[in-house]
Amino acid sequence: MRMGSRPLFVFAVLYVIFLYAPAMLLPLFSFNDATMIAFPLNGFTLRWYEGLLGNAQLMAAFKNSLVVALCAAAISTCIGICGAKAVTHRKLRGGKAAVGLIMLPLVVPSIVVGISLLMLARHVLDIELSLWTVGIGHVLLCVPFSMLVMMSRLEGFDRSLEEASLDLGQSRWGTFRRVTLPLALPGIVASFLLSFTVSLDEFVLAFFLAGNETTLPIYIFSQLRFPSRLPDVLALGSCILLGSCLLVLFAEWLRRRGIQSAFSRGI
Amino acid sequence: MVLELERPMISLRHVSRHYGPIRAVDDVTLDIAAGEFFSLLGPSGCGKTTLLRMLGGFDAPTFGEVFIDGKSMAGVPANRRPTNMVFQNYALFPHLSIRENVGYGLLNRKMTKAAVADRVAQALEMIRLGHLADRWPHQLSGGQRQRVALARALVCEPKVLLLDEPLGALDKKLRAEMQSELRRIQRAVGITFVLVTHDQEEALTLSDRIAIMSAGRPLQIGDPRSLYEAPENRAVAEFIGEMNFFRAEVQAVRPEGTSVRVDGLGDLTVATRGTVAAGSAVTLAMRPEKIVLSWERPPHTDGMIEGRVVSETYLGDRCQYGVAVANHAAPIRVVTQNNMPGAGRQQDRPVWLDYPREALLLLTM
Ligand SMILES: Nc1ncnc2c1ncn2[C@@H]1O[C@H](COP(=O)(O)OP(=O)(O)OP(=O)(O)O)[C@@H](O)[C@H]1O
Ligand SMILES: [Mg+2]
Repeated sequence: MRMGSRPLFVFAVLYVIFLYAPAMLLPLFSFNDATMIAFPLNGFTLRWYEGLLGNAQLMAAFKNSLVVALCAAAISTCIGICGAKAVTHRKLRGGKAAVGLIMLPLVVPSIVVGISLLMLARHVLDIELSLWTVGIGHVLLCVPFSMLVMMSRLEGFDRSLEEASLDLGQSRWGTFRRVTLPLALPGIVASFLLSFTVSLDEFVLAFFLAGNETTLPIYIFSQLRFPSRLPDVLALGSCILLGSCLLVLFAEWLRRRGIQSAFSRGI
Repeated sequence: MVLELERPMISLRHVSRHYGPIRAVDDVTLDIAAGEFFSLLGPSGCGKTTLLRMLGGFDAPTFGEVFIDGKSMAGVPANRRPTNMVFQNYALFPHLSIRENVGYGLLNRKMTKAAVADRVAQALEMIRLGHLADRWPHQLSGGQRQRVALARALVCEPKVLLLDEPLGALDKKLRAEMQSELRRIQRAVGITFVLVTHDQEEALTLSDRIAIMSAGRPLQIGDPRSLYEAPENRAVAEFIGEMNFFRAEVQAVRPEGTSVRVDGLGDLTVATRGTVAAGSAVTLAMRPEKIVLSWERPPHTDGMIEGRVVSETYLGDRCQYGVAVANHAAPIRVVTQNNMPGAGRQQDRPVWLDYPREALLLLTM
């Protein structure tokens, strides 16, 4: 290593520690046999993890979050594909303005979106708050991410492939199904995963829009008031950490395998 | 060559395509016969691709009408036209194997799986790539991809095959190979080919007829020999091959020919072409290889031009000389075969140029 880069190296190491050390405390204390979060450690235990499985409320919240995230990711990805296909088509007028409007939820504070959606639901449309309202809020939030991912994917690929498909006798729909979709698949997977994670840990909108059934972030927040429940939350956090690591690895594996071999057979 | 155009495969009637103020294709009317190898030749931006895309159904004329096999193509989308296209960048589907690429056009046909497999195998055999059927497009060389694109289009048995500079991305040797391959396949299947190219050699060697395009219009349509030997105007003469041009003034128009006074050549009588009137300014054109160059003073120099070599360009099998003559601004270009002794390094030597009178072409435009 050159001498000049030494301070930078130290900075980089410190930065990585700063980023990941707090997260590493989570699994560490989740195996610690004590309710108090403090050093020295008290001994190894799995009882917090067992407690997780026994905690019906927590499992319900977790299930709610999964369902909402899966639905929101699926819906926003579909909208993202169609929207991106439309705005990357060269004939569309006002495409730029449409993109701007769709991207707005990225910059508008979610608290504003949350309040306005709450007002809309309760006072204008008069519908009960439920997981549905949370899901709708999350779709609104996830569509910009899906659009961004799908637009960059569709802009990158060659129009003449679609023309060739038309030329070879396929209808517009057949072309979309046999050429556009398979080629956009890596983008679709990326958009789905991104939307899924955005929805899974979203707090503000869920807080405003949830009815009796809570999602995981809200449940966790409500548990922080009880010190005795803290180790449960730690165990849960560790599981989520592991889950998201696996998700990222899976996404990367998919990307590396690429579209070439993975998805051609069934098409 | 006389072509039977009683019932043309393709008819364009006053076809125009405007992009805002740009007239990419400007009032084109032409017929292409069934089974013909027809080329659109012209410089970049003259509207060749636009014209081809209107035949394929990817673009619609602003004015005018396209007929294919007697039917109007107005409102008929690409997937319902009896045409197939070979794209300039090949446009092979990267997520499908070579076999699946070639079979793509048969997916919607009412054919048994076995019949499709048969047709695909036949097509791959025709382009001699049967052994690569299970590879992916990115694993093929440029020339092989080109052939796959060709097979993929031909397997659909179109009435018209459209090719947009299909050989543009290949190196010279491979291109020559692919040209003879194209010609062989076209003869074998008997399909009408419409080829877009800006390579005049390619157009000359492959085509039955060529349309020379400029600024959205065909300047002249004809078979390769007549285009080369008898261009109708200066633009065509300039575009195809090399040409010497001489300014001239018409002295008189007689039944046996037109008398002209030519800068650098003197008074001559040449065959009348087009409408000329005494006193008008015209251009005479002559191909460099029609001129006979003598290094020694010939016994009779009547009708010859005396000049001095000012430049020479070695071309391998040929040499091109620039010969300065009195009363003519630009040096006259002369091409000789490199089979004569004494050729080479002849700068500044006096030479005598002779030419057959019929090599001089009268151009009015
Ligand atoms: N979609 C378009 N919008 C605006 N102008 C266009 C469009 N497509 C083509 N043109 C214009 O039309 C003219 C003809 O284009 P075209 O692509 O047919 O040329 P070409 O003869 O195929 O040239 P090349 O040999 O470079 O491929 C050009 O001036 C081009 O700029
Ligand atoms: Mg072109």
